[in-house]
Amino acid sequence: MLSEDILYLSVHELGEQIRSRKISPVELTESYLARLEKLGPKLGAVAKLTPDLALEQARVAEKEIAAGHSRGPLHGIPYGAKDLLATRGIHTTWGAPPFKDQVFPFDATVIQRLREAGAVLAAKLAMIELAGGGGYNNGNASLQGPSRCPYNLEHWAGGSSSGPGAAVPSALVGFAIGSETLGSIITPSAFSGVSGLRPTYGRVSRHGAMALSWTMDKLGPMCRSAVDCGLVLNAIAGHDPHDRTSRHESFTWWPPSGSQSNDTKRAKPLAGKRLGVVRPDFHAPGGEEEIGAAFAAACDALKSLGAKLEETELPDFPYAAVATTLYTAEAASIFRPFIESGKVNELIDDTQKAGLISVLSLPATDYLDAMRIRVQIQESAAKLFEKYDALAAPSRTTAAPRLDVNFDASPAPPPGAFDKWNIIGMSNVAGLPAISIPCGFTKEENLPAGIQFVADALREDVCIECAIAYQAATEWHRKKPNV
Amino acid sequence: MAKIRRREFAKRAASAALAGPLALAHLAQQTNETPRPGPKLKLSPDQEAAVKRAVERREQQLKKMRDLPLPYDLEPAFLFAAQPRPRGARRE
Repeated sequence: MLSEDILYLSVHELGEQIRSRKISPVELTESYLARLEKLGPKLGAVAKLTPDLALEQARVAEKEIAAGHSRGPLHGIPYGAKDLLATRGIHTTWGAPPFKDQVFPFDATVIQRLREAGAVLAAKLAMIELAGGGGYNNGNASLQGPSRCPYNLEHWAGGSSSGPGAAVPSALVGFAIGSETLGSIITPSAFSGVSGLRPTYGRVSRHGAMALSWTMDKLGPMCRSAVDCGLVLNAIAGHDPHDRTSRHESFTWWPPSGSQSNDTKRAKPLAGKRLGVVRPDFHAPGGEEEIGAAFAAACDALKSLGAKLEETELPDFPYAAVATTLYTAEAASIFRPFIESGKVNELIDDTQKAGLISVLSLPATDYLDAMRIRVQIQESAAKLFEKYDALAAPSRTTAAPRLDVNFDASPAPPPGAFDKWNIIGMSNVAGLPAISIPCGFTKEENLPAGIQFVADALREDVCIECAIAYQAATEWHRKKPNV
Repeated sequence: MAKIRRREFAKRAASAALAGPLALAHLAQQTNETPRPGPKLKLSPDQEAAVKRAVERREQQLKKMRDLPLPYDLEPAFLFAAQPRPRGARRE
């Protein structure tokens, strides 16, 4: 078995070692499988292990590499897929008891693309049931049970891509694929210390992924570094005839070379970058001052890297209402037979059940109004990116909650109270890319804080560039949990 | 027939959905529409209360959105395109 230090390497580093034949894909896969088996249940990270498939794919990769045929940076790297991605002949539960026996006869396009890139599917990873489409009251709302933050097992990993949140920072896999409709990559990335990239809407095909919202669902990489996010996105992006919303624009990105000749560029890699800082009031209810302090320190670091920071505010829109109306209305249409048949009652979370049932009565006029306001939100976001290359904001205003906390227990804020800071709502409604990376830890509970960079549509490269510069100057993303 | 504002209609429809198949059938009778087969979904009193709370929460949340004045000519963020018959296709 390979040492823990090797398993914690980034995809970029693992790929280099595989290509130079210092480590073998088969040995790497066996080591990750053993770790998944040992720590997966403790972390609540795994929906299903796929050892036979993984070892078969690893042997093929090993042979190809030995024959001098490299498929690129993911060749021979084991990964995990959120359990809403169809995998031929392997259970795909959508995290929900009513779908526990569901098996698809085909692979999702993302799974297929990763296979073509030589990556090795080691596990299907846990998730919140139905990606939390009806809302949910705590982190236990999953067929697989709660996923735990690897840095503090009493706390939630975040959702709905909870399994990837738990698995990636604890080195159970090389990387993972998550999905986001409204925060499901950014939130677990923030709560569990992951580098997670939510691509532009349409950048990655959703064919074979559970549909929650046709106009808001996105798939993206969850990794141990921003460089890895770029490498994985390279492999999964691009048009797919099976998904009419997938974009034709290509995405090709390569890590910056370590031997840049320009010393100034190395010292100030963000020189010339204009960042709009969206800073919530961390003293208000729903904020945590320690997370605010971590964000402030991250902003200082960005300044020292040459970025020009300016405080800014999001345009005034009811982001929460628009986003929720869009995805719940679409979810109601998608899951209507499931809800009306009574199968909805087999779900775990009562809030989710009530939420799904209630959206059947959402008026179509509200959905259409939300779709109209969406145009205004897109236009106003575009204006922001005339002024800034990217927006920087805390990924979440709090650290991960304890697993025994019910989200409904705390008094609900007045509707729209957080809209002026709701960058997750704004960017998801507008379909914009974002990356979340760790930027600190709370002192007593050792919980990660995250910073996110949001860029204009199709400018994932800008998000990644900001995150890489920050990670080159800091060590937060390299902190190992004690699992 | 008395005029009904769309918000009022939405509220009534929401209540009807909560009240279950009988209410839906009653609504359908009034409008001379064939009632759809009754859904199998039966709600316990606790669930009815939870759904009512969810609807109330949503109504509160939607208020800000509904209060936004929208320009008359603002179209929604999707496009419908008529699909021409592929060239060379045979006429039926």
